[in-house]
This record gives sequence, C-alpha cells and structure tokens, in this order.
Amino acid sequence: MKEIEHDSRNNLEGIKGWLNPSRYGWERISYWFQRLTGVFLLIYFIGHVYETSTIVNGQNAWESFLELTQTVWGHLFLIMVIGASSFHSANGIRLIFTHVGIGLGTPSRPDYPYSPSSLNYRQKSGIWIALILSAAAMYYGFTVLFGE
Amino acid sequence: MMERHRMLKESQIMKIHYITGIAAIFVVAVHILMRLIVPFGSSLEYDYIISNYKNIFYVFILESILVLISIHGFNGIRIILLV
Repeated sequence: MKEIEHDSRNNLEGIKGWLNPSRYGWERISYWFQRLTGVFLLIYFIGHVYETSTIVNGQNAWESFLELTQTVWGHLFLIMVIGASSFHSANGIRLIFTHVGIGLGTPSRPDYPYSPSSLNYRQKSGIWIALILSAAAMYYGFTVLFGE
Repeated sequence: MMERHRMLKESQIMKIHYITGIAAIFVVAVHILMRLIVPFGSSLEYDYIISNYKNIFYVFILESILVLISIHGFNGIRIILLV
C-alpha cells in the first residue's frame, strides 16, 4: 500500500493562522478577542487573588502593596480589565445564544456569493453591542478611577 | 473486565461552562458593587475590607467567585487548546 507523502503539503499555518485576523470578518475577530480576553482575565484573576491575599499579613503589608497598584498605570491596567471583562461577558452571552440556535437564521440553499445565513445582522449586532458595552464600561471605570 | 470510565460528555461540559460563566457575571457584579457603594478610595481601606470579610454573605460570594471562575477559566483554556 502506497504511503501518503506529507512533506509536500505546506498548508499548516499553526499559531500564525490563528492570530492572523486580516482575511476574516468581524466574527473571526470576535472569536479571537473572546479567547484573548479570556486568557487575560484568567491571568488577572490569579494575580488579583495573590494581590488581595497580602491583607492576611496586616495593615502595613496591605497598604504597601496597595501603593504599587494605585498608580496611573495601575488604573489604566484596571480599565483594560473592565473592558476585557465586559466584552467577554457580553460576547459570551451572544455565543451561548448562538450555541443553542438563537439568532442563527433559517438554513437556505448556498447560492453565489455564498453569504452564510448564520453570519447575519443579529450576530453582527451582538458583536457591536459587546464592543459598545465594553467601551461604555471602560469610560465609567475611567471616571471612577481618575475622577477622585 | 475493563473498568468503564465515566467521563462527562462534551455537551455536559459546555453546559457547565455556560452556567459557571453566567453565574460568575452575577457574583462578580456583587463584588464590584461592594467597591462602588462607598467612594472607591475608601473601599480599599484596611478596616473596610476586614469588615467585608466578617459578612458571611459576602464571604460566600467571594468563595463562589473563586470556584466559578476557576472552573470556567481553566475549562476555557481546555477549549482554546481543542478548537
């Protein structure tokens, strides 16, 4: 039996293909953002638990650690966390609806120019709502953190 | 006779992922509200935080966040590695 030659097949893009959003639409960018914000928030969560655990060492330890985080850069980082968590939540709710079949549209015959019914205005609106909510939450966070 | 492995089905894992995600939104919202019901600077004062930790309802909320985000977050990493 003849073996299939794999050496000539250079079609595996790997992580570069995953990270390249240039030839995809908003749906792909949203997919990419959902994963990036998820990983970012998990790293923040671990850091936040470590940061707040310094309170068990007493008031001095807590206040000295707080001085490190209550800076302009610390506040800008928190605004990024607010934006990431708002987008991840709102887009996550859209994905739950999509997974259970809500907002996908009805199946239809694939005719040229082959625009899939699943990538309809409902999905695009959901992505835009997630982005707008995220921007609004970041603005609110900015007013709270820098408004004092 | 081989031991039968009782694994969760992918659909069950995704239900857990979605339920933990939605539940996390609510408990994190309560956690953030606890910082916003007083001026932000005062909400980070040592005595205020210790008084928060003496509230059993709030402690339950914090423990829920720890459990829900851990399940949702680490399962999310598994999903990223799969898809």
